[in-house]
Amino acid sequence: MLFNSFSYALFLPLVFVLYWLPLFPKRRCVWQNGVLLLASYAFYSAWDWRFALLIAFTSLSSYWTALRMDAGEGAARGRWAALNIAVNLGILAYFKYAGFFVDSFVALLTMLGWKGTPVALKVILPVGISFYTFQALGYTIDVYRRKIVPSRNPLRFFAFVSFFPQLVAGPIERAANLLPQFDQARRFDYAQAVRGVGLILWGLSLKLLLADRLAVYVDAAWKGVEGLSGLPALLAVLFFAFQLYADFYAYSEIARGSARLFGMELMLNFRRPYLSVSFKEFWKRWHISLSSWFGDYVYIPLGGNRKGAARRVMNVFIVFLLSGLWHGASWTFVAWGFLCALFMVLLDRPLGRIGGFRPLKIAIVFSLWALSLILFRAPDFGSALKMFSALGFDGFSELASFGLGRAELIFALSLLLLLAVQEGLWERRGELIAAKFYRLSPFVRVLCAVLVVLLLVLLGHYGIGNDSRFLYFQF
Amino acid sequence: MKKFILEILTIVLAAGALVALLDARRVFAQEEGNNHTGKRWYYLYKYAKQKKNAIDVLVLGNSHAYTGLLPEVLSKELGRRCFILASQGNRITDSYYMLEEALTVCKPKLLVIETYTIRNYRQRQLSGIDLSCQFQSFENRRNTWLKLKSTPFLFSVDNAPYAWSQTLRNHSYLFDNPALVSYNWKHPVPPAYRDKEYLGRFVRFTTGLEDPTLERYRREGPPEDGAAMTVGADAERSVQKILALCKKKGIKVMFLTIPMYHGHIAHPEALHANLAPVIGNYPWLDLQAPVYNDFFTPDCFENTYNANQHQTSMGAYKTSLLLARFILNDSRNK
Repeated sequence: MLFNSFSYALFLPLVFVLYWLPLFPKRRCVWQNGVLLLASYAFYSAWDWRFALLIAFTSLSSYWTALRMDAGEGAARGRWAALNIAVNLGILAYFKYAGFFVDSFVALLTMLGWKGTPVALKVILPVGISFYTFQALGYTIDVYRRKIVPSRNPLRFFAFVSFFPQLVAGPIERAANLLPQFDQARRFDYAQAVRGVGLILWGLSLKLLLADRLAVYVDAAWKGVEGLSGLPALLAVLFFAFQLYADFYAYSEIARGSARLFGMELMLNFRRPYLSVSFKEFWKRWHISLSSWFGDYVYIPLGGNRKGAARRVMNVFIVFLLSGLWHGASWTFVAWGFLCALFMVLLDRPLGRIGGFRPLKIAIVFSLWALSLILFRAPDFGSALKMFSALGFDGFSELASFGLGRAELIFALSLLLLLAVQEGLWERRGELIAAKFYRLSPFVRVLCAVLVVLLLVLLGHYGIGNDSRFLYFQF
Repeated sequence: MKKFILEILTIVLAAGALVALLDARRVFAQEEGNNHTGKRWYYLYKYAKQKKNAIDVLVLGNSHAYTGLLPEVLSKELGRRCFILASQGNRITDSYYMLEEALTVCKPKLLVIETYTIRNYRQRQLSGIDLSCQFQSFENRRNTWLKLKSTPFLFSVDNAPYAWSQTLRNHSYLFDNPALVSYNWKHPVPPAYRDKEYLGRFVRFTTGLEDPTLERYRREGPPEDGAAMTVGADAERSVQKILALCKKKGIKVMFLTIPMYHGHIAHPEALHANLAPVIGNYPWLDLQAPVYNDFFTPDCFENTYNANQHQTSMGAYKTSLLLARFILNDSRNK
């Protein structure tokens, strides 16, 4: 069930109504958590009912080992933590990386002269497995570090792991932030709900107006990468950078908006990353929940920047290589992670020396990021190389031959311009503008919402048979 | 909470009303030139208005039925008015709901079901061209209540809104075909049908199989296999529903298999065996049976080797004559 599907447009109000039904006033929290748990499992089972078994197992193992950890002392705590981490990573490794490791191993053997027939592994990748596995892992590690006390209420804990707004593509929530929100009955907050609807409409606009429209061009360009050259290739790279951002940002905003309808607050996942002036800043603004997860659970335990420059560089590379692998079981993702680490290690200092001219720094960071995404998008190294070598400035007349006609291409470019203006405005006075908007009379707000819905209906890129999944579902 | 729900309802209703307005004005309607399904419903309702029981023989099917039968010939031979209620790419599940609506305005004495609609498919999982055909058929039906009732059986939750709204379905015309949007905006009423009498036929193919195609049959063999043309659970259920409905309304039922070229389908006997359990003891004229191979000469078939082969007007003429004779000879239809 996609956030941009009609089934979600029915599902969300239905769960909303059930959730806020004034039943069982004395056990309101149990009712609300029960509704969320059932809704989340129904939501996840819409892809494949077997996935629900997997998330139930992940929840159960994390819940149980956390209790065992809490009951134990010293080495016993460590053993339970290690066991849970091994189980969770084992599941992730099997479902996401088994094929990759086997293929890589076979390729290595073939290079060494082996001529056997490899066994083909057919493992389906459960949607969002990387997201909820990391969320569960974070909980285990936090309990081990005694940062939080383990949950003793299975209903709350299971609802926390499977909370449907952020289940399949994050934000990867920290137990310290989300779990306590399940502890008490939520009260309906009008302002929070209105802002939730605002976030959902904003997310849908990003997805339907921009991301899916850019996807048409990007997919067509990559499909014909063999014959691609010049400006069309450059535009494909630029469009993909914005497609990825708009798509994932849209998902995160819809997730946050949906959560607010239930009185829950999820963390911010994107904070205008394309206005970053250094790569360090970029990673503090892009996919914040994952970057901070790697920071807290990998980078800092490895020593962070406390053990000298060489160790810091090594830690940065470890984190980014893992991050690359997290994004996909492919060597192109690993290479992308390597490139990101390289940018951070080599370029942040020179960027700092450029001085105060912000637009230049923003342009450099964005351009290099967009180029690195060639590896992110490419199905293999060969295609990535072709895309790199195709970049240029000729072929203007061919721009409209990649799925988007002239009018739609101009429309897409205008939307990008609008987005740039909006990001710039929000960077300076976003909170102020939002606060002013939500202070408008309900009539004006409703009118704005109707206009947005109408815009989405008429200008959105959607339709029967459109493969409009969110990009980050595959991770 | 009340205020919030009211605001949301206002947004949904206002946006819905605006979309409904665009639908009513047909701003995103596709070109009307070839909408023979709409024409069929128009004339069916027109005849019903003129006279009760205006139609005696009703034929249900898809493009095989409306290209493979000449209802004028059939009507002349039987001395009764025959009408083809078919839509492109139709499956028997949709045929049931078309029949249900048709029976609100007419009461035929005999229902003929063309068997090409009885296939192996999952109605709510149709996609691509099959789904487009289903939308077209659904859109042309006129009874809103019956359409509403049939929606959950014909479409998945995600496809249902597209079935109801041209605006949702064709909004991309704004970029792809702005001239049509502009034309529709200025012409909100579709052009009127001017035929004096229309019984549902649609002759598309006049020339038959040509030598290169016949040579291809000889070289490559049949493109379709009767053994693979199985009947799915959805189709079987729909046939049973049609039979039950007709029984309740006192309408006789027969089945008709309009043939494709005999070199087109391997193992026609397997196709017959696949359909037989569903059809049971009902009268069935299977013109795909090898006994008719010589009668249906190559000029009876659309010049194509593709999977979906229709009949030419010659084929339709022969089929109509055989069907008329079959109906007249079947003692149950006396």
